[in-house]
Amino acid sequence: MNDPRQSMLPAACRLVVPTMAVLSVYLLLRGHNLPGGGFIGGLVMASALVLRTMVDPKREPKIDLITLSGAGLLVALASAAMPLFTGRTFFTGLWGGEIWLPAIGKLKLGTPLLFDIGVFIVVTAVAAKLLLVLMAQSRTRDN
Amino acid sequence: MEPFWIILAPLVASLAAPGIVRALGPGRAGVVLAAVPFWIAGWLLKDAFTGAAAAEWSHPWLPALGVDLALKVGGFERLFLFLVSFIGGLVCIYGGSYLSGDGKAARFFVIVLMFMAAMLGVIAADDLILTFVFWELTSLTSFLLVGYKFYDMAARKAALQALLVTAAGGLSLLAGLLLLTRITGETRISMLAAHSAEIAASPLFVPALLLVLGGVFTKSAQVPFHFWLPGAMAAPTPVSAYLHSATMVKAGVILLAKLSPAMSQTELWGWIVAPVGALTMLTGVVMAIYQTDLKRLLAYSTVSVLGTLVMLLGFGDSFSFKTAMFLALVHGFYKGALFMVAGTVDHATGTRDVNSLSGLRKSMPWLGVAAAAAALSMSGVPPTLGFISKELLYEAKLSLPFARHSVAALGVLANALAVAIALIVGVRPFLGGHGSAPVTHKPGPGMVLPPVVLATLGLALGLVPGLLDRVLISPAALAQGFDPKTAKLTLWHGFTPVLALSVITLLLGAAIFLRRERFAFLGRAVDAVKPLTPSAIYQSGLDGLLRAAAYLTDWIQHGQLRVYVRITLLAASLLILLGLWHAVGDFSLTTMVPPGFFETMVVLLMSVSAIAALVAKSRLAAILCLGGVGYSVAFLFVAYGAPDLAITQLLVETLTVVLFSFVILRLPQIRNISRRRTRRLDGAVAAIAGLAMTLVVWKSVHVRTHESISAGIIECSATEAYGRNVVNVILVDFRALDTMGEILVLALAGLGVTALLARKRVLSRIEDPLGEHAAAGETRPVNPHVKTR
Repeated sequence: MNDPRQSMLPAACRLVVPTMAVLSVYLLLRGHNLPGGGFIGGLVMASALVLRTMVDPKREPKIDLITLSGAGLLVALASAAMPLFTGRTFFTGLWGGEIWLPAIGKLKLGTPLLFDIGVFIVVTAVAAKLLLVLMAQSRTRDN
Repeated sequence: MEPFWIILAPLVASLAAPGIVRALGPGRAGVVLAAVPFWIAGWLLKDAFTGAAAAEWSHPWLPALGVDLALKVGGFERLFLFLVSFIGGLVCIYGGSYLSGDGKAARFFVIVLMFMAAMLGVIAADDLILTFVFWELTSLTSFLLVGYKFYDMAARKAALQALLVTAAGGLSLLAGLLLLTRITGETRISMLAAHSAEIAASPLFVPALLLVLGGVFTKSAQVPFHFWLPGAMAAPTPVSAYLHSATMVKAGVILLAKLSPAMSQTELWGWIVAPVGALTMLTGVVMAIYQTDLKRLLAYSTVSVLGTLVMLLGFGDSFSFKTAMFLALVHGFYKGALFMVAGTVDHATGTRDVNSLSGLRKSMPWLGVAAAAAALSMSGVPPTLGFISKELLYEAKLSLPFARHSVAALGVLANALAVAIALIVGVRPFLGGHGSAPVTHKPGPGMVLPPVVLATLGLALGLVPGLLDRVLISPAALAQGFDPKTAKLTLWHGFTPVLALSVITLLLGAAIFLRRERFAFLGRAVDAVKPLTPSAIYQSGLDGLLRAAAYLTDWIQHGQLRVYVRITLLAASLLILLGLWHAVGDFSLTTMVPPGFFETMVVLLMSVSAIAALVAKSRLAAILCLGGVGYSVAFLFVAYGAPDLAITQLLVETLTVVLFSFVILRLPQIRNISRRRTRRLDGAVAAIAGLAMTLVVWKSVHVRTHESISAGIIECSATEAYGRNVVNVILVDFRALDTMGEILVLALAGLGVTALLARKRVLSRIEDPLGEHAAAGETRPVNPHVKTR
């Protein structure tokens, strides 16, 4: 650990990883009005997760990512199915009230936002899983 | 009570079965579960006695197609519903006892009760499409039951064979039923009879009839599709007793009877249905007589009876129809009993070989009584039900408008062989001294009582045939538009030619039984023409299909990534170029805006990166250069005002480079993996793909066949979807269904990659799910295309 090359990345990560996580949520939430959204946010979040594990292989995500991707699909499906209970067709957008969030401003709540959150979860889970599996694979071959 | 309970009640019981089996053990659980079918049977019988009107129930299902969940319980349905539910109850009791030592008995009950629901549905459904759904469900549940011993290769093979034959027939049936619906515009079965003239006159009638018969003949094991039924004897005996004698194989006969008011008034019907039935009738007994396995003997004789039933329906007159109804009931009783006897004998002695069984009457007297009574009914000895049905059968044949003597002679031959079979199965094992196979476990009451009940009914009801006639048989014929007064069910018809035929049948049958060893030559004869038998043709067809599939897979899925990419690119480019050849528009440069400074620089950067990637000496450098191309594309997106795309491109490009760098260090040097010639080929392919892509982009700039939808979408996105980022609004709102499909694919891809990379761990789990086969010393076939590392 005395080698500065070995300690620089971990030190940077302590700062960068949380920032990326916050950024990903910010991108997700502002997506309806400005560049961003669930897909982009999910990729950023996945990068954060991978970076964290890259620095310290023992710090793998605690949740099973495949299960998480299924959960994301369910969230998306739930948002699509909600209008059915109000007598409207599948995937009709339902809109509710507005809330105010720092840095984002006014955010209108509705099923499309929930759907985007589902997309965010699926993309995060799958992208992170692919990279982590490959990473683990290359590590085991090293040993 | 509503008719839908008939189907719902067994399904509920099926769901409850595992819990009940766990709480009470299989033996007692069978008795408890039998209450459900017995309750249904009792209710039907009560309605039959009081002569209640037909009960109908319907609920819209696919209103746009006029398809309803329609059920009808009239006289005809009552007869078969009673048969299926009553024997079903006995099979539950019997099966519980039979499988009491088997750890998987809960599975048996779950599937048998599901099958029961499906079978009752086939009978009660009054809608063609609904009938088909239930029909397929009986095929599927039958597949699971035949393959009950899934660890046994032979059982799996037999199950697959039964499924392939009946499901192929099911497809044919579906096509036939759809044609029928197209002719009449009607899916209600009870309404079809009114359209019979229209059906017969339609040009679609012949294909419709042939397709429907394709389904009926496969399900009811008619020649040349009969071979799956003896194969299905791999199932546990309670299953054979239920599905393959009393119920499922009669589904074809039932459907034939249901459709006969609508379709039987044509010449073609008689010319196809009756001869196929007659041929099957004869084939069944001839194949049966030289068998030595109890269940195979019974299976082939069942084929024969099914042929007789089909033949009677093919005659198409009222007398024959009523006889068929009666024979179906009688056969269910005696054949169900004999199957159960065979199962009990097998269970007690461990063998079903008739040559090694004898003297069983001493150890299992009640079973012997049941066997003898059922055999008497099968042989048609007075005063059993079988005698009455045989008399009617001969009378039906003798009253044919033509060829009556030859048909009757064939009937005598078939029935005499059936008598011999009845004696071999029902009498022979119980007579004589102690056989070579001793009784090892004595059967419990649950394995003796059900066959005794069935056999006794076959005897006792023979004494009061008028009652049976009034309550079940005549209403069944009447409900399908046939005159029930033509045939009278009585024990004594007087000294008629029919009685003489009955006596001749019995004497001939006894003679055949005494000289049964002489018929072994039939077995040798069948062996001699083995490659020509339907089952051999089925087998070689299946083998050929598998070989062709393996060849095709080797050819297409060779596993060389370079060739995959080459083929994909070439095929796509070819299609694009072909499409461009015919498309409208031109390639003029006039409408093109000259690129600005920024774009020119980006394109230059991109080209330099691409060339650098090509000449790079190390993989890492090549990957980084490719990443450079990707980043340049992102710059272009920025230049043309697509920030969302640009961000996505940047992220994906970054992750790709990271991903590559994980993998690449394990790969061999670039110089080692391809020769100069291969590279030239790759270069040509790349050039063609690039050319095609350039041309299509170039041309698409000039092609605008419709008004652009961009303006509309931009306008709507703020007012209707409350969003100013149009890209995102399209993704999560306007075209959300597409996105749903995309994330589903993404999740599946993640699952696939995980499974592939973690293959070793997963495979070892798939190979031995129960952890018992390694101990049993049996090797399970694993998909040969999945190679273990």
